[in-house]
Amino acid sequence: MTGALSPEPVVSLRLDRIQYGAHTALHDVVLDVRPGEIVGVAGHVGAGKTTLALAAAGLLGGAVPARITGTVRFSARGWPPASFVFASPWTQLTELGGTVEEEVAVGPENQGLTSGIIRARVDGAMGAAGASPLATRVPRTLSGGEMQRVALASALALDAPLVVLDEPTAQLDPSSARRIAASIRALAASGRAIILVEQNLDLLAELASRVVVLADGAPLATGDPRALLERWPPLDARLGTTTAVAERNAPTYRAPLVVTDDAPGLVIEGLVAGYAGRDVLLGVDTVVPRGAVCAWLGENGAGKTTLARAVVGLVPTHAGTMRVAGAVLDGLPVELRARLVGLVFQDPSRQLFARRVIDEAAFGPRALGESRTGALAMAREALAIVGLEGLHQVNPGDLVPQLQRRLAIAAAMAARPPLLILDEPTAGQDAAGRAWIVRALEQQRSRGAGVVITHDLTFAGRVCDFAVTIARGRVSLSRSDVPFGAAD
Amino acid sequence: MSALEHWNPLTPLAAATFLVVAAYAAPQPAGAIASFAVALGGAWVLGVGRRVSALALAVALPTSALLLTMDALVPGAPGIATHILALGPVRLDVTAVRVAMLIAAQLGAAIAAMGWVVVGVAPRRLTRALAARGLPAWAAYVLVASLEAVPEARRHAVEVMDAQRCRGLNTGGGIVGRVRALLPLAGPLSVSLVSESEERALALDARGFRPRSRRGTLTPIADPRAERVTRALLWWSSAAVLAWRIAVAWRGSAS
Repeated sequence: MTGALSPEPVVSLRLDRIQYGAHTALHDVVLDVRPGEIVGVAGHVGAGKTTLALAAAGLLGGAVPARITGTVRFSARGWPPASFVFASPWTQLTELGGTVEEEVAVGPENQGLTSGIIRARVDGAMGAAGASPLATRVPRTLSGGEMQRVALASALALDAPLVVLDEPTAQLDPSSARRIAASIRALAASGRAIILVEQNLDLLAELASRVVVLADGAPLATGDPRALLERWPPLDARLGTTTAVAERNAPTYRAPLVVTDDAPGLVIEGLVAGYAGRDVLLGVDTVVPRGAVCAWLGENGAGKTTLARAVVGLVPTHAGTMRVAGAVLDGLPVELRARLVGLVFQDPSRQLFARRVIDEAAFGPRALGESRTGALAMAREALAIVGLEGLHQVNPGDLVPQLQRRLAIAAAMAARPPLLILDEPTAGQDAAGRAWIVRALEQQRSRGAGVVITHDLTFAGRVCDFAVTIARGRVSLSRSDVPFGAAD
Repeated sequence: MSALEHWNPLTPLAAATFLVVAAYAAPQPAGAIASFAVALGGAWVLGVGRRVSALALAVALPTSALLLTMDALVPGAPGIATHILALGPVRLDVTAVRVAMLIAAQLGAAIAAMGWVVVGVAPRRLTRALAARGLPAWAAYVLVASLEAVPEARRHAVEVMDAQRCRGLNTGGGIVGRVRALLPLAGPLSVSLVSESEERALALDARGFRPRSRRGTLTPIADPRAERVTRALLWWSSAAVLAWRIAVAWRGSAS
């Protein structure tokens, strides 16, 4: 719906309190969002950002059992009143569509539209989100970033007067993120109201006319994002936000890199690997020296995650060789490679299975033969590295996604592998969470080497010694300097 | 690709329904066996023979073996049975063999016929075809979710298993080792399937899903006149066979 500019708010929130069981997630919120307006929402992990976003989209109380005291009013009568893009790309596929374009069509199909209108909506939304080249792919086979583009297209296809985006660019490469930023601007220009949850104040300053900063479930401040930048140190733990300038000026944790080791952390030579008859990696050559942390960069779907999975043995290799700390990986089963490589998947919730945080972290050392006492000691050490020492008895399933990701890092580090690979570790993390991950990678330097698969160039600039760009299954560029910060 | 992909999914559904009705309406094993044979033969003609045959025989053969074994070991009423095999306490009579053949053929026919649809028609295509006939959104979702449940659970199991192997869990060592490695997966797998269904519900909400509404479709499924006529004949035939069977049963009980 492309309603004309009107002074009437598209959504009016008067929320006294929102509770999940006995826990109050949000209180005392008064917010109106008008057509054409982009309102940013920032704050630390657990501040109530996602709850506010869900409430504004009218999604609380149904699939998400929450008790709302207050009102959420929409001016439009169409259905649905808002479309929503979730932070995690893996949890927003409906599975009603067998291909990407069918998945994008689910919303308009639910609206009961005719085929012609659905086709027009799908084509327009996929174009705006950069998902057109993925039209015939099976959604489940997409990379996280590609899936996020499909999620955005699916939301746009609804053509709702309010679009709520919860960290929509967290999984995207810089060029896709820029495209999404342009799409958001175009949506606002066409008269839609936008609520954008984001940790990155740079993006909010670029897009939003107004930012609501939440802290501990209540608004801490509201105003122009540039004014907020001047008012608070951007890495203030209460805000949880970050900016490229702030990270560039943050204390560097990097020691000067001295490459003297005869047994580098990781050596990959001529690697060809892929899935079921389709090679994704077409001859990868790269080296990560011992004591170094390397960034693997590249567009969504370039093969970065496939490379990581090939290193741990989850993707069949057809040619080439790989060594970690001097040990040859070729032919080693996955479980034996675990002594050499720790991998944290893009979606951490998929790799947590124990009932307590401490057991989750101790699983690796135990599986590799450590005594229970020894494994628990290693687990405690790893949990302390990522700042989870106070949560040993908590069920991992009860943690917020950001803490689940840090737990997954601790679980991979507990067995002290000489190589640690983190796939998109900063997605959804606030400033404090990012600092803990930086700390984990610094610890890893002393144990061997680290690899960070990321689109977050600011973070990479802060922690990585060099970068390798992967494109079309090969290393297209390897640079020894770290020109991040300015580059993003 | 199965030949069924070129048809409106409701046509094989109607044909499969007719075969199932015919198999269960037949009073003699010969009728059920004929339905079974047509369903199996049809599956091969339609290009889904291997999987459908494996499915149907995996049910029909053990069922008949189980029924025959039970009859052989459990003594029936004395004096009325015509034994075709008598080895000490183990006796097999003609009626038991007929019943076992009838039940196995009926089950086999049902699985083979419905196998055309389950194996040869993409669930989402079937759902779209049913939606075009007025199937409400909730039923469409339940149908797709049910048909996708097994591959979904398998995908989850692989993900959790991969994560555990990446942290050193040895899942080798033969069947015992695998079972031992898989047992701890049961809990987290169930939890993740439940939480996934909650996430799916939220994702559906976010896409404007309303259980009782009628959905549109991106790509309408063709429904040529010839198929519509064939389907009408099949549905009417199914109804006629059912009516005949009920009438026969009613007459039998009345006399």
